[in-house]
Amino acid sequence: MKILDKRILALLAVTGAGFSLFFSSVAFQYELENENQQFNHRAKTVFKEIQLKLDTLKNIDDDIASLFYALDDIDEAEFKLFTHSTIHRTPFINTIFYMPHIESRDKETISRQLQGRGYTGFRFRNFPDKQYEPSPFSDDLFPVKFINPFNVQNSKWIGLDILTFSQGQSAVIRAIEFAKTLILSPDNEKENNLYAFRALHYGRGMPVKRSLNIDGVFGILGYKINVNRLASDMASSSSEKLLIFLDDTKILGNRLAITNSLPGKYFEENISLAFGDQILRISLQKNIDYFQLNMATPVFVLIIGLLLTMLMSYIAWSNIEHRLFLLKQNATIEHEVAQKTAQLEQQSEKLKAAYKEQKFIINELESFSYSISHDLRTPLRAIDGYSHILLDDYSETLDDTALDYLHRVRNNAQHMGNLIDVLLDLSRVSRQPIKPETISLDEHARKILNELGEHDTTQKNYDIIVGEKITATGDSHLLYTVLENLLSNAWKYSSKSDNPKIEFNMTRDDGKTVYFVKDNGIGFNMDYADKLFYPFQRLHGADFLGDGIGLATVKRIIDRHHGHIWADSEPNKGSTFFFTLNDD
Amino acid sequence: MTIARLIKFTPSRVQSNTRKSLRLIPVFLLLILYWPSAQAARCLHVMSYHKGYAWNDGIEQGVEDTLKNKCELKKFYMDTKRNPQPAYARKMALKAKKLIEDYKPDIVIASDDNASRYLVSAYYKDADLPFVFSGLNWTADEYGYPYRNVTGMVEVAPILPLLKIINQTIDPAKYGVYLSADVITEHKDFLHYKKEYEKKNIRLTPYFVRTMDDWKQKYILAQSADFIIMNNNAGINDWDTQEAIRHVKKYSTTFTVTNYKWMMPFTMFALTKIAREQGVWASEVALSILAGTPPEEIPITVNKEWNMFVNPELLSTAGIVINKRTLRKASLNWR
Repeated sequence: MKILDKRILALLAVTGAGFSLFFSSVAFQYELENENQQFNHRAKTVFKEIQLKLDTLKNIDDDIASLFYALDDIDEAEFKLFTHSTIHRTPFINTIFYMPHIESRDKETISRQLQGRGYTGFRFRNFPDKQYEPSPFSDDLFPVKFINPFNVQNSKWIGLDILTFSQGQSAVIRAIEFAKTLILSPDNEKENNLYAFRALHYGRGMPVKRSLNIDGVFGILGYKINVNRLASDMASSSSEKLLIFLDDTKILGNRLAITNSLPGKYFEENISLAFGDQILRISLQKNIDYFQLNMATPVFVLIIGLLLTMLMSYIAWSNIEHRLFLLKQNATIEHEVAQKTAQLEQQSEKLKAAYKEQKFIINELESFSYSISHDLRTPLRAIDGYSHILLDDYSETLDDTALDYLHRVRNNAQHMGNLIDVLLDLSRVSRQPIKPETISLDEHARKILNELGEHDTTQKNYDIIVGEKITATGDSHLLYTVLENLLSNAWKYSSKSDNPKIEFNMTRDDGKTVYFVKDNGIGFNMDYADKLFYPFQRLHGADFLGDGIGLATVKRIIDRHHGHIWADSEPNKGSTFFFTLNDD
Repeated sequence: MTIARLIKFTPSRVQSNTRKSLRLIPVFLLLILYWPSAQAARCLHVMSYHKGYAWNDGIEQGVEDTLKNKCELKKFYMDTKRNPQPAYARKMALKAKKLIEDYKPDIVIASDDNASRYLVSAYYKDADLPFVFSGLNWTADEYGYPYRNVTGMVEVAPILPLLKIINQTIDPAKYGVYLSADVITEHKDFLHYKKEYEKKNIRLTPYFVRTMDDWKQKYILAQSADFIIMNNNAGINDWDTQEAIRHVKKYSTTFTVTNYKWMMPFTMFALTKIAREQGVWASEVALSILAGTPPEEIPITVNKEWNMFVNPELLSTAGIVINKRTLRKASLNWR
């Protein structure tokens, strides 16, 4: 393959591959967009769910607050009983805790009471170092009294003053200030956690002025919320993440991200939800996992594209190969043609040479024939002449035998002269150029038969049949000679029949026109049919006169007209001579 | 000596070494398989009482279920309920101490008072080995808990919850009787009850008995009260269950309550402590300590769960109706 062809092929392959990749990437982008659309839909559902859950949180808070307002003194069992179903039915609420308002002067008394109730070693205390923030109130504290679920981890909260909790102090103070309002606060230590606090003021139902008067508060309710559980199946999803951004310049005076973004590339949808006077900016992110995308279409497009590229490349390659093959073949053919042409030229030269030689030979033969005829005739004439003179002048002096001999010499000389003429005629037939024309053979036949009839001495009535409109293409003179020979033979060999009959007609055989001369004469033995058309071969030489050259002449003329001649006969039943013309 | 001679690193030797090395592979595999179990923590549960004592069995089951597959657990029974003598208890404590020294547990759970009294506070105050107690009656003050290395759950009776039920059922409930075996534990319990009930202006009179007949007599006497607290009969050595059942069926007119499930055949209503809660809590604390939390960071707590039982037959005999809400929560499955 030529370099150019290779380059074209390479370009085709590269272009095809390029287009395949392009369309595959388009399909991939479409799938990605599809995934994004599905994600958007999911995000809407998630945000709706979060809104509902935040509303649920408010309702739960109101219910629990109602419990505290309804009953004078709630014990641990009642708290647990009331909050038990909440913990189980709302998994996004991790923990519920209650902090009663205790004045510093009552701390000792309450400690003793609790220790007396089995809480040996109980003491009010502040949150440990990392979570500690100094309380703004020196004489009041809100220690955790009840916590649900109560387990080993949560038990550590019992006695801790929520006002020293760095994660929630601001929110607790705001809850006290705003009254009857749940205030959210992020957990700066643990991602995905959110706290909410609500102050319980004395005088349920009565309006509470916004103030930081702590005396009006008998307790604080607190909630720990698992942000991931705000959406039902978020916890189990490793590729999705909920981001909570507490935009709270109004209440807590800060903006805090509660969770961190996903690493890598992700889809993202955002919403802002109002929670009282606080704004939660929520973002749902999902990692783009290319391996989880529906890659069927892009892969399919790529595969089809590559297959088509391969197919086109193959077709191009095949075409190139074919073209090269044709070129090669052409070269071979040209070479062969050249060879053949050379051969033909050679043969043509040979033929020309042969023709020249032939012509030379013919000319030589012509000269020879002329010489023979001329040179042979002279002595023949002399023989005949002097024989004649002898007969005329010396017949009285010669005896009968000598006279007989002289007669024989004279007859044979005349016969030889005839033979020479016949041979010359035969050779002339071979040399005479053919002048093809359309001739009416039936007219020729009628003319010949009329002449034969005029010269006939048998006095017999010949039954003559000549077909109508029998035409042929050939040399008129030569074909006349053919008919003359055939018809005169037919006349001659049927002369001894009682009712001689001669027919000249034509027939069709296998698409060819076959002419025939038929007689009911003496016929001949078909065993000798192959000798008929040789010169001087006479089957009935003794009974009928003739020089034996007629049929040879006919054959030669028929041959020159590219035809065939054959005969069919039966002794005493007549003969039929068939011939065709222009068979090639 | 050439290096070649020193090393002698012939191919045949390499092959031999390789074969030897390959033989070690199964050993390593075994080690890998064995290592986790070899590294599993060792836990020891020292129980004050014996197997078969309902309260002990409850705690034991709680410990077993919680520590299953998380800890290699060994048990020791001091059997001091059947052998209450202090000398016996001290002897058993020494045995437990020997076991600790031999077994070398990573943590010890000590159930009920005698384990704390004779073992933990005696030998392991502020030791390196952490302890978790359970089932201490009312207060851990007696043992000076909490220590740096000790925390746990105190067992308290549901005095106030029971009082609520009494107040719901009997109105007014001003005078009650406390009827139980004459044992130290019950005396202690009574004091707690008295203290809380006096706050509510309820007078509580104790009847401590030692014999069946005494119990029967006091039961009849107690019918004049607004309610009767029928506490532990363990200590009444000639106790006859069937006789007690017949007696209460014959003479019950007053609302009777108890803190002990086994008293239910003779009592109308029970609010009982759940032994299993003690075992579960102690085990969860133990696991938390094994995970790295210092014992002093886990505050001592009290039990919070109660079972509620009701004896409808006796209630019907006495013509007493319990609040429907309470009745719905109560179980008949005390037999």
